[in-house]
Amino acid sequence: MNPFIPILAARSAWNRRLTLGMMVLSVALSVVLLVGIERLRTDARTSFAEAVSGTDLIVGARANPVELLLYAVFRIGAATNNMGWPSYLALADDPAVAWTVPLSLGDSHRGFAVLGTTSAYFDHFRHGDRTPLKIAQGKRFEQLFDTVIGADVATASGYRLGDRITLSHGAGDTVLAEHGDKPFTVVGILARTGTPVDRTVHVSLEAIEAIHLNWQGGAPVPGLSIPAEFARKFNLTPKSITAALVGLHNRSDVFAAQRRINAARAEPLVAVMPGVALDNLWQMVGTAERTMTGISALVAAVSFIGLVAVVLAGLGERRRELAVLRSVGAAPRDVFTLLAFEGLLITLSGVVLGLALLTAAASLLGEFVLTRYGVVLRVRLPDGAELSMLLAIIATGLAASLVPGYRAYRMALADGLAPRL
Amino acid sequence: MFDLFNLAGREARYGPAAWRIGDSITTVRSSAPGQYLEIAWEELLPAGWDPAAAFKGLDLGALRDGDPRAADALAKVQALWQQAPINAQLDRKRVRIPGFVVPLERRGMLIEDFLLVPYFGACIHTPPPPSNQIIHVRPSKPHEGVAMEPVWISGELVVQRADTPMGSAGYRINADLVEPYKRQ
Repeated sequence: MNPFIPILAARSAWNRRLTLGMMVLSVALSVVLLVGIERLRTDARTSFAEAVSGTDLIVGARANPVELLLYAVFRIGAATNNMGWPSYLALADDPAVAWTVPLSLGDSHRGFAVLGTTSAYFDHFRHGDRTPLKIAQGKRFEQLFDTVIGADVATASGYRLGDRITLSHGAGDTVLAEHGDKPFTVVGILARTGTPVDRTVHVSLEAIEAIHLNWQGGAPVPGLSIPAEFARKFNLTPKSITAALVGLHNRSDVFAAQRRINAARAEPLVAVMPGVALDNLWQMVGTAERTMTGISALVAAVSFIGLVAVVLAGLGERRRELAVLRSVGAAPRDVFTLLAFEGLLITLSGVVLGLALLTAAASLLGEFVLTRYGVVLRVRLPDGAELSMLLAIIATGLAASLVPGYRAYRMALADGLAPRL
Repeated sequence: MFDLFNLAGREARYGPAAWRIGDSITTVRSSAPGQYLEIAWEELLPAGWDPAAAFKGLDLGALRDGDPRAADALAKVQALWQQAPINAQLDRKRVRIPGFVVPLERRGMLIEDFLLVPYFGACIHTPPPPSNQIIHVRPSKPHEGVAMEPVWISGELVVQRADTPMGSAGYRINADLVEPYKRQ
């Protein structure tokens, strides 16, 4: 190939940069779609898988296993019912069970979920690759109204050790009432985990009972005021919890333990294996994901057809340019290579622009997606499946540009035999 | 298959279209055993242990309908089956066995820790597999897969003794190889 061809192609394309710029943008957007969806798939799976580790079962009131997992671990959705405290005690007594951690959800603080639990949570909860929780500053909760907050809660709200906070009843955007009479003191801040733990305010189970002492049916009883210092005079044993994390002595016992819990007569419960429930979740959304990928592939096809159409349409007015090239000694196959290279150039520029747009979008939307959906969008170079996808796009772009290339080749041949200008 | 855009769906390949609930893998001696001893799930039970002993000498044809002896014998078999004794002779043997994957620990698309069970799906009507028909597998490198995927596991089998009087014994394999299982 004549080494001048790429330079000629680039210069010629630059001459028509407005039209071709649109094509580059079109290819870029289809790259954003295809690679973006693939990246979102992988990132969602990774984020969800990292959120819980080393837990054999998650037990709660009988509900769809995936719903319970989403609510108990990812704080997405709501619990339909709570699990009674006697059931939790019976669970802890089961001979196959090594440890249990009770979880009580429902309240919030400035949009962050409040989790009532015991000190065992800091011992047994693992995330990522069996990494335990680390307290970056301070200590675990000890006094009744102590709280340990996650890393993002501290950064977003600027809380430091010793600050006082009040919790709100209810969760989500509509917050109805505050537990204003019982403020909490921040005694510990956890290190970053990259999981929903970062956005959680942790308090003791007794504290959850204490703040609801004078509440009945979602609102404080008028005229009934129980100051914080008298809370201990009441029985603060919880009556119910939302869910419990369970670890077994022997992981192979998980099926038998799960069956026992599911069949428990005292109360309808469900025991969820996190790994299996996650797989069910991905299976459910898998159809939607594949549909979106299919649509994005079609969008890419449309984009390339547009590319071919635009370049073909422009060939008519480039006959003079091609004739000039022929007259200075370019062979018809050089003309072919010129057009093919131009198409490749557009595709490559489109891919690079698309990746840049994707990175920008991930950086901008990262915070929002993390807070709302708990998915960490990682900014990184394409790898694995993404890379094969990009190579396929480039190959398709190259193949598509062979069409105008061949057309130009035929035109150059014909003009050579009977030049007409 | 170069399923570039994953349109067939990895999860769909092992789903109901391929296997039905209750299907088990009848061990087909594969073409490349290598230095691993291929074992069947029955070999995980100790030799000479006969859970169906209560049915020996019981002539079902001679019993009336609803005879309590039939129910008793069945209850004895079920209780014995749940005791799940292990076969100590397989300890430290390099074995190869097929089964279905139940993921325990995941990292993104990779499974780091899983259980191997003998049959597909969880049939609600019968008890789950006892602990001597479940193998806890730790692959040497994380395996990309989905739940209920059929695989061949090759590695060293370790019998895990019950460490507490309340725990039960079980099998572990540190798998050198995890290969997909093709149904013939």
